[in-house]
Amino acid sequence: MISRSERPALRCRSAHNRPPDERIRPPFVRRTTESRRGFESPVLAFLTIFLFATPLSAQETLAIKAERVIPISGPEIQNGVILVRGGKITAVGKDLPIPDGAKVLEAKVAMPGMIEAHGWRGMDSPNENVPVVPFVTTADGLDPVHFSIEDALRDGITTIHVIPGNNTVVGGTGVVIKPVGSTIDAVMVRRPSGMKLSLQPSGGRNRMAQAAELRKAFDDYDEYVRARTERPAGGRRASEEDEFDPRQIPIRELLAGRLAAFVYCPRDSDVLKAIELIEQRKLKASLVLGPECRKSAPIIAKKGLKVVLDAQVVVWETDDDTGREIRHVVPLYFHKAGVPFALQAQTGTYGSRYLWYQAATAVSYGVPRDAALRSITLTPAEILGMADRVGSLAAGKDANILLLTGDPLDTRTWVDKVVLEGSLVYDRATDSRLQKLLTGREAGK
Amino acid sequence: MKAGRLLALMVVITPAASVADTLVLRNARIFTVRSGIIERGGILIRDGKIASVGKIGAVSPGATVIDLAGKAVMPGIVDANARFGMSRDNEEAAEVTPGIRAKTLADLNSPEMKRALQAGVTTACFTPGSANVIGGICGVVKTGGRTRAEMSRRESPAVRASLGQDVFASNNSFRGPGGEGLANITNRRPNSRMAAVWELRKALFEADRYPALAGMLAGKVPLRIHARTENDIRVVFTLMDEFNLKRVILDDAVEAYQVADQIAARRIPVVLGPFSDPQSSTPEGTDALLNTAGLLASKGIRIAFGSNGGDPGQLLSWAALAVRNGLSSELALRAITLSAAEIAGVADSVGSIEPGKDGDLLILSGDPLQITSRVEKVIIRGQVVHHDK
Repeated sequence: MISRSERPALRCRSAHNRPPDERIRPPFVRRTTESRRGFESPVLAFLTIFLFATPLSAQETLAIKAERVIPISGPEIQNGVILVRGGKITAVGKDLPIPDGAKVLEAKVAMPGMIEAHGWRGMDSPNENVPVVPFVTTADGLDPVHFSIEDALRDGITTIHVIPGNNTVVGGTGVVIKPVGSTIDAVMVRRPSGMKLSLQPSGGRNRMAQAAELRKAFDDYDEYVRARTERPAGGRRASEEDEFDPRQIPIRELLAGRLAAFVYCPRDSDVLKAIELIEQRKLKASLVLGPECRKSAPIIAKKGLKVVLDAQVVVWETDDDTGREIRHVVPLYFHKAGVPFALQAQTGTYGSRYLWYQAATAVSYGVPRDAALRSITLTPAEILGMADRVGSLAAGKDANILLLTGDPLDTRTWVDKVVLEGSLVYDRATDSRLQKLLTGREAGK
Repeated sequence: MKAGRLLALMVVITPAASVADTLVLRNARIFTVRSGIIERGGILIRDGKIASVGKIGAVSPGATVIDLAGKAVMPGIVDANARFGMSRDNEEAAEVTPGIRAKTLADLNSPEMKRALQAGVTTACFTPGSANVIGGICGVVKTGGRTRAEMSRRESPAVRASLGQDVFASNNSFRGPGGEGLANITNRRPNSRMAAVWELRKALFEADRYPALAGMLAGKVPLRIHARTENDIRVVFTLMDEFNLKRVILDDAVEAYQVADQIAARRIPVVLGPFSDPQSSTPEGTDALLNTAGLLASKGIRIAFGSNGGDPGQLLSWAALAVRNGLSSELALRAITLSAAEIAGVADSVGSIEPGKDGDLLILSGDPLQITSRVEKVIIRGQVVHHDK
């Protein structure tokens, strides 16, 4: 096992690890250097199983040559070259000259790292029992060396959104992580990522009580702000310097449009309620939808919202009149309506745990290939507000690149290597866990 | 698409056993399963049976002809271990219930049956659930057809027994609080893995009490044993020797790869499925692999897939993923067709595309073993029973 000191890629907190806007980082999540150290233990370091190549220094250039480069943001390039420097893509093109001294990696197919728009990887319990908890963050709950995060890397998912679950009302904020690193700070890409709001009846509330509770959370915030600015007789008016209740800060950020909302609508009837709240409160929001919400695709299109679809790509319905079983292909409804959609994987299941499998399933039922590939790369990047950094292969973007053995939607294709922020972080040839699962033998035996 | 509609129309308007009962598929990429792939070939189905495969000459006027323009055709999928459309799949009055017939538990009009049919499952070998030491008798049905009678098939392809957690996990402890409970029907034996073995041994020892077991002990029908863990599979070997069991089939044998050499030497076929992600929670905490099918096949073991309480619509995907993980394409396709038919005892009529067999075929949008392909048409005995719009 390589010792920690030999793996600078894991230890460095690059600029990407800092939140893009310190202003919106609430004080309750600010950590001291001491507490950060508290996360680092030799045990965790040992648990990180992947062996990493030496990262390139800022001056070194990495060149990825691929028979096919799939940039997502543009047409496919035959015999393409991707140049990487300082963790960023500097150029993508056909037969680009490779600078002297550049490290060269070759692949059949190269594409951007896949992006999981919504999920609970690394969380043992994603839901808090108290219904309105805007102040909790998945950063305090997620285990960065969880198997599911390790799987994300071998499955080609390089950007992971970990957000609180749906069994709350105001569930708390999420974080965007990368699947490489043994501490929460090492894996951090962006915090907070967004706030979970849920219309799924939970905690014994029925559907109308759940909606009322959600509206009340915002009304309570209004009341807090009103009480703060209209101090009672004898008191002075609160000024900017007065401490804002840290429990309310995430709601303030949400209403100011500095924090995105992810509104979960399990049923079709929840969609209108979500849209009403979004419009009333002028929220920057995306919808996280249950399969039934396919019926609302046209209205969602009219509102210009983006959606994260359920991991169940295909659902069945019995036609009461004919007794026939009707298959509904959920992403097809949104594609036809012109709604940008992201597909989810079903972590821990056979097959649908892979994002490519979800996309391939959508293609089998008629979703065009380009739309399906976009739904696991650039669209989730847009939903996370990170399309300037990830989701496609273009100059200036983070060098999160998959080197594949074949077409991404071909069942027989494997993720061969993963380059993350310019460093080679995964090589199938040294993935001893995968070898064990395929051969039944431990590596070297 | 047009041809499909036309065909569906003709099925409705033409009387049975006329020339319209002749279906010809032309220009097909035929996955015969038994004898490789035929490019740009034809299939002639007459009166529900495959009459010829390969070059099809002139056909009588009135026959339905579909030009597939190179699309893939494979045999209808055979689910080797079906449990769908059963409201309850275990008889709970006793732990040894050899007289129960799984076929009678399957609801032929259930939504699950219709979905399985649309997904390309044309034949299903129903097995009793795995909660009883001896659950009953397996039965094969067709998932679709003109009449219900046409769906029914063989009477007794196998007797089904079970070992392991499924048998004992739901049974309460014999010695309940206060010592009561002996009279309670839920307080059943066995309560442990070892007692499950004992109950099975006892049932085999007393086989003359159960008429359904006689044929099995005489070697006329096989004994299918649900055994996921390596230790339960080893128990199966012991029982085979002890009771001179000639024909045994292992069901859901997740850890079979650990004793693959012995399974191969004893010529025991293995039915796998449903598949779980080995990185996640697996049934009975078994040490599952991604490539169990490939490893067993490399030892020459006959393998088949069965939905076994999972979604039968996944069988084709499982075959595709098995290829990804190391099984050959040929054997993956065989695992959901011919091998499954052999295990179910119906390989004389289904499981491959060859003359004399039932005209049970699937037309696919692409390579059957790619997730990007889907089943477009399902044909049972020469009749299009489903076509995807």
